[in-house]
Amino acid sequence: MKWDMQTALWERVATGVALLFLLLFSYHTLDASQAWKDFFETSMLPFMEEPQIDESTLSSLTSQFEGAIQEAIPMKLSWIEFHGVLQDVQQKKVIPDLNYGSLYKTSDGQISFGSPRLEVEEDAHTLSEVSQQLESLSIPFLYVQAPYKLAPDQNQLPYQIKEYGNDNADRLLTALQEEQVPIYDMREGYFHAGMSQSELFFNTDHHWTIPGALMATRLLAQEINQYLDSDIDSTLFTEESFQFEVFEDFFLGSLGKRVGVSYSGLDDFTVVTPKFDTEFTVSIFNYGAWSTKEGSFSDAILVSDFLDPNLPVETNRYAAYNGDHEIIRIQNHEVKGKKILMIKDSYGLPIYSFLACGVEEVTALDLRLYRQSVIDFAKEYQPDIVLYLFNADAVGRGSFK
Amino acid sequence: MLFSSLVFLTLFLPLTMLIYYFLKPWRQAQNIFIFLVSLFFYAWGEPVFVLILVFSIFLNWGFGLLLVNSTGKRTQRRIVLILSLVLNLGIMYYFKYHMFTLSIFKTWFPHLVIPFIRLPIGISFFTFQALSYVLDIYLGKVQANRNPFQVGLYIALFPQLIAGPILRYETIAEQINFRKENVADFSHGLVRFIIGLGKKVLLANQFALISEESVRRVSYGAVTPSGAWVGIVAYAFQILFDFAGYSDMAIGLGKMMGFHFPENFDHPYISVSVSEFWRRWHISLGTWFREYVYFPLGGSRVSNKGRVTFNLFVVWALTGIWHGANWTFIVWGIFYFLLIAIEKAIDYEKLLTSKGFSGWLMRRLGHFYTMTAVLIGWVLFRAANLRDAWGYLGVMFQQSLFQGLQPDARMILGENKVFFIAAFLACFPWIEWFSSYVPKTPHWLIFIFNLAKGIVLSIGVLFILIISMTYLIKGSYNPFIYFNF
Repeated sequence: MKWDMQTALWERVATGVALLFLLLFSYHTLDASQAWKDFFETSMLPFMEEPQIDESTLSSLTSQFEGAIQEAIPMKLSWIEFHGVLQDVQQKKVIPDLNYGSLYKTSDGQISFGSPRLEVEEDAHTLSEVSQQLESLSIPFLYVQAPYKLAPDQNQLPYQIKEYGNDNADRLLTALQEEQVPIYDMREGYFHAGMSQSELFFNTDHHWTIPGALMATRLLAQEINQYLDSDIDSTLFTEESFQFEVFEDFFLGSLGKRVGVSYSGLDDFTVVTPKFDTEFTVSIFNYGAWSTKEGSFSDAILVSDFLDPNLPVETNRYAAYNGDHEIIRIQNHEVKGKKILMIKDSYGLPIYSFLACGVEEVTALDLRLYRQSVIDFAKEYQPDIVLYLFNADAVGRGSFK
Repeated sequence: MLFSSLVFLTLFLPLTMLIYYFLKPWRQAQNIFIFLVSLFFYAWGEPVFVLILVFSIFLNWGFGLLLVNSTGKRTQRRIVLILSLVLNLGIMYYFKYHMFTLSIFKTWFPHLVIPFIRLPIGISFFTFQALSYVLDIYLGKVQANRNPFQVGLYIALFPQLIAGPILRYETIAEQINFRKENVADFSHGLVRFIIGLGKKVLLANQFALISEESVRRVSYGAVTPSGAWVGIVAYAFQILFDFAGYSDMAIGLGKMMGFHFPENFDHPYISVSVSEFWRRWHISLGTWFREYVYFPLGGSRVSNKGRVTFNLFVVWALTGIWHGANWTFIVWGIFYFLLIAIEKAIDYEKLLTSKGFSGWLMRRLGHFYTMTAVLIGWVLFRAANLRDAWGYLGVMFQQSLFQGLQPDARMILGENKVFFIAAFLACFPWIEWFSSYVPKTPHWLIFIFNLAKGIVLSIGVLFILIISMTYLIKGSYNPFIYFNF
């Protein structure tokens, strides 16, 4: 009997603490006004305006509500940090993740995800149609396969886990070749350019580093020259022409945020700017209005707000290279010749920023935001070339529509 | 809605408990509140199929009244019973087995069109509970309840609505109106809930990742025999902690509201015979089949041994098919029928009771045999079809199995060592074993034992809660196997 009494007493202590914890947690979750305001505006209001009582609408509403709770969690980053500590203590290399399924610590110590095998026929068809329509307008087209974090010829994931990002891209390129769509596969040149994995990609983010992107711009410029028989000065995009300022332990990328600093560590962030004189006009179109900025590379292209050391390390430093906008147009007043239209994903940010140093004008469209016809835009804009630049993980996801 | 979700833990549970205890002076209001909350709980995941649940409630409430009105009229009572069986099982058949049946007929009629029919979550659980209500009234074990909300409360009670334990009406009828909430039950219930949450989030979810990866790797031939064994052991842990964890949470939640549900799991992996395994695994389902199928068929109290075997066959074939519309489940059920029939035929369990070294050795060998059989059973249970199951078994029993732990198995074990150790330890009833060794005197020693146990348990439970919340907030993989049944 005494045994039971002791247990019951301690059970009550534990219950009291657990209840207090759950109630406080609940209170602070409900108190997160921004998350609930967002939920109300983006989910509830549209539902209330046009109520649809069917399974998919109601299921989507409950999922969005659960998403709002995820956002409303008090001290979310601290919880994730604690989770990271637990993984680190266990020396784990595979971290379950809500969005990606799993995140991995690669053989290079970086955080990455693996892609599933995806069907690429629809993407190939979309790109082939774009290419044909541009050809009918006498505008050259080039699909540029940018790399993503995992190299095609080596398995960096733990336990020989199979991933298909590069395989998806290979199948897309094969399909495009069969359709005689001009392609440029940047991956081999990028991974074999003599830079280490951590120089090519952030440890905690899925993007390439800024020095990596500069090197990629050089490869791209050479390819454009070859393809168009043009004379963009590709020697411009070398280390000698640019200055590198390293901010140590400055950046926690999107993947690092999901596993915590203690597990992923922090990235250094290298700001790369031209040594030569530059003069740009940068026009940005968002939410139906244009805004314009003029000045040097650092003043007009670079968004130095993102590089403020006083901001938390979770700040998206990569966005310093001016993105993501529906339309961005960069006019270079120092160079004459070549007008490039780039259709891109987030890998394109530093590429159009650097490429603009070597041509007269670059305009970039982000298809996640720009919902009108690319062909109509190109017809009016009359570029010397239309580039589609997407990283390998974007393949098979309907990114080109 | 999942118990192991943030919406349940941060909003549903605290708000439900607050309002439930606010209504404590009014039992009927409490019951109606819990009934409505249970419908909301179900509708959160099944906004349309909640209508089927409501229909089932009113249908069986009606059958209960019809049985009362036909007291003394045997034929009329039988007709009501048969009608209730046909309608309840008919609904379950349509949603769960119709596609499967058509797919069998398609072999002979290739032009047959098979419609896609989505399975309502937990239909097998609430249908069996609803049937139990009608059957218990028919068998004269309980009175029919004239209040549809109370019948609804029994069928839809949210803690056990979608994954059991399957309550028989006679075990809970009294509690609907006369349960007593108290602090001891509430605190024991919350502790039990947290332990179940830990089993689900910290063990089952982690093993789900390992077992799914193993199945994927087998499908493209990238797994060794030892890797396949580690994969199926991971699945064995996943399904145990998934289901037993859910049962713990259900029992705990019930207790927080004053309900006392029967146990559903009793450390099944310590079993030394397959018969014992099934006395410890999904106890409420076994009890249901025993009470409503095996005993009415005559059970083992029939003179003809062939008839006993037939009764066993019926129960195990039904147990198999209850789990899903797939040949894998039917073969899985028959696999257990064969093992249990053989154990009965050779009086195997009697052999295990011998004393001394031979008895000890028999029990160790019995444990090894039982676990091997259970793991083979899980291969059948886990596979998408019999060919996949056969393929997986083929890898498990390749000759190179005897070359020791191969690299993939070593890596999985190394990566997940903490979880494997924790799961292994959690399979044994340490507290019961430990309690039996506590000396009766002196009192100060008992006091110290009690104090230490209390402190370790309290800290352990809070630790489990915090770590589970950490994993949930991180947003880890959170499937639940038994929702499919």
